[in-house]
Amino acid sequence: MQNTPLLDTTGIIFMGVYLASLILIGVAGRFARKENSLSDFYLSGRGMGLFVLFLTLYATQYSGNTLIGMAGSAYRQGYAFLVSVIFMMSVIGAYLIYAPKLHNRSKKHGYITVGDYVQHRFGSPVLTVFITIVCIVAVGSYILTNLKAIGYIVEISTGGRVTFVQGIIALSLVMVIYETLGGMRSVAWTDAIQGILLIAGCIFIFCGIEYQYGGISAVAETLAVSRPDLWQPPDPEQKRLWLSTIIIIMFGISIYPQAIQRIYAAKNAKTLRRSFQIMIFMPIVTTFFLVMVGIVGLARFPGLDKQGSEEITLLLLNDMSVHIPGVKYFIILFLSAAVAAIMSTVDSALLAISSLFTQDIYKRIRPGASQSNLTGTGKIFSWVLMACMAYFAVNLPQTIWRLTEIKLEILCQVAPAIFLGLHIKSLHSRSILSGLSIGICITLFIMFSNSIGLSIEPKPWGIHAGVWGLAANFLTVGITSIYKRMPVKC
Amino acid sequence: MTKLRVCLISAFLIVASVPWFFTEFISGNILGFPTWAFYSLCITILYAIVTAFFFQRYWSLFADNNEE
Repeated sequence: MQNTPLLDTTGIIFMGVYLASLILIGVAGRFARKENSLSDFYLSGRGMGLFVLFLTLYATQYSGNTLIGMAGSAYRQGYAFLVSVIFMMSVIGAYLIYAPKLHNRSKKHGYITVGDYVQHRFGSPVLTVFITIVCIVAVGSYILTNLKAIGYIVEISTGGRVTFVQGIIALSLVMVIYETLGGMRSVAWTDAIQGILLIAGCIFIFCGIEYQYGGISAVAETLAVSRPDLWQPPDPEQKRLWLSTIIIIMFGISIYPQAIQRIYAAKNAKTLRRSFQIMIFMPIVTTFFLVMVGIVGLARFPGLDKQGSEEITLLLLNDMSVHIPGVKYFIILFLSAAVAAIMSTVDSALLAISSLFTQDIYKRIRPGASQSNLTGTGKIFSWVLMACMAYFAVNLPQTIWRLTEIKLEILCQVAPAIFLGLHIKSLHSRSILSGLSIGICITLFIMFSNSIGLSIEPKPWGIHAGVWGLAANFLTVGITSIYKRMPVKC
Repeated sequence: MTKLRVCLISAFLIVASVPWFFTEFISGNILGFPTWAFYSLCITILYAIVTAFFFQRYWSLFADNNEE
C-alpha cells in the first residue's frame, strides 16, 4: 500500500487548501484578540459559545486513533470492541461529577490551568507542582504518539512522496504557527473545522459500507459462518478487562488538562451543560460507526495481521472505489478527517502543556512577570516543545515508547484530587499527595515488574495496573482522611 | 436525589453494560449483533439517555452554588 498513493492531485490540493486555511484561521484568531493576557490566550477570553465549545470538545476527545486504530481493534476483537462505545460515553458521564463545580470556581477565582485549581483548593505548592509534572508527562507522551501517527498517515496517503519525517515536520509547523498566533481562539476555531470533518468522515464511511456491503445483518450472516467464535460471549477475564478499560479511560481522559481548559473557557454553565448533553451521544456516530467499519472489514478481508488490520478502513475505501467511482472523494475526506483528528488533539495538548509550564512553573520562578511576558514565554515554550516532540517522534528508542503506552494509567491517579477535592471539604493535601504517590508507584511496579525479574502479569486478574493503582490511591486518601479526623489523645 | 445516588445509578449502568450473565454460546443474531453484544449496546444507549437527563436535571446539584 505504501507505494500506491491514496491521494491523487485533487486530494493533495484539497489537503493543501485545508492546511492553508488553518494558518488563516490562526491569523484571524490573532486579530480577534481582546487583550494580551494569559486568560485571553489560553482560554479565549472565557467566552466560548455552544457551537465552538461542542466541536472543540469533540475534536479534542477523538484523536487519530479513533479513525485509524478503532476500526483496526474492532477487526481484531470483533463485537467485544463495542466496549469502546461506552468507554467514550463514560468520559462525558464523569464530567457531571466535577465540571459544574469546577466551572463555577474557575469563573470566580480566574483559574487558567488544572494547577490553579489544585493550588487554590489545597494550598500546597508541592502537590501543585507534582500534579503539573504528571500532567505534562502524560500529555507530552500523547503528543508523541499522535505525531508518529500523523507521519505514517502522510507517508501512506502520498505513497511515500512525502516521507514520515517530512510529514511530521510540516504538520508540526502548521500547528505551532496557528497556535502561537491566536492561542485557544485559533485552536478552538480550527478544532471546529476538524470536528466537522471528523463527523462527516465517520458518517460517510459508515453509510458507504452499509450501501456497498449490504448492512450489519448481511455482514453478521457472513461472519456467523466464517467466524462463529465471535458469537461466543467474553470469558470472565475478558469481562473484567472490559470493566477495567472503562474505568481507566473514564478517569484518565476526563481529566486531560486540555479538557479542563475547555471547562474554564466555556461562556457560561448553560453552554457547557448543553455541550456535554450533545457529546454524550457522539460515540454512537463516531466510535460505534468505526467499530462497524472494522467488523465489515473482517467479513470482507479476513486473515489480516495486526499491521494489515490497522489499514482496514483504507482497504475498504479502496475496494469501494473500484465499484463506485465517486468514492475516491471519500478517501480524500477520510484522510483529511484522520489528519484533522490528530491535529486537533495535538494542538490542544500543546496549548495545555504550554499553559501548565507558564502558569504553574515559570510564574513561580518569576512571580513579578507581566501578563504579556508570560504570554510571550508560553509561545516560545510552544515552539521549543513542538521542536522537541517532532525530534522525539522521529528518533525516540523503542524502549522509551513503552512509557507512552501508560499515560492514561498514570494520569488517572490525579482523579481523586479533582473528583474528591471538589466535593469533600475536609480533604487535606497530604492525603491526596500520599494517594497519588502510592497510586503511581503501584502502577509503575506492576507495569515494569517483568523488567526487574518478577513474574507479575501486566494486568493481574484481567485488570489494568492503573486501576490497581487508582484503587490503592482512593483507599490511601480515605484512610489518611479518617486518621486525620480522629481526635488526638494526649 | 443526592449526588451519591446519581453517581451510583451511573456506576450501576456502566457495570451493567458488561455482559456478565451471558456465558453460553447462542447462535443467531438480533439486528445483526450477537445477543450479548445487542444487550450491551442497549445498556450503552440507556446510559447515554440517562446521563443526558442527569446533566439537565442535576447540574445545579453538582455545581453546589451555595458553597463558599
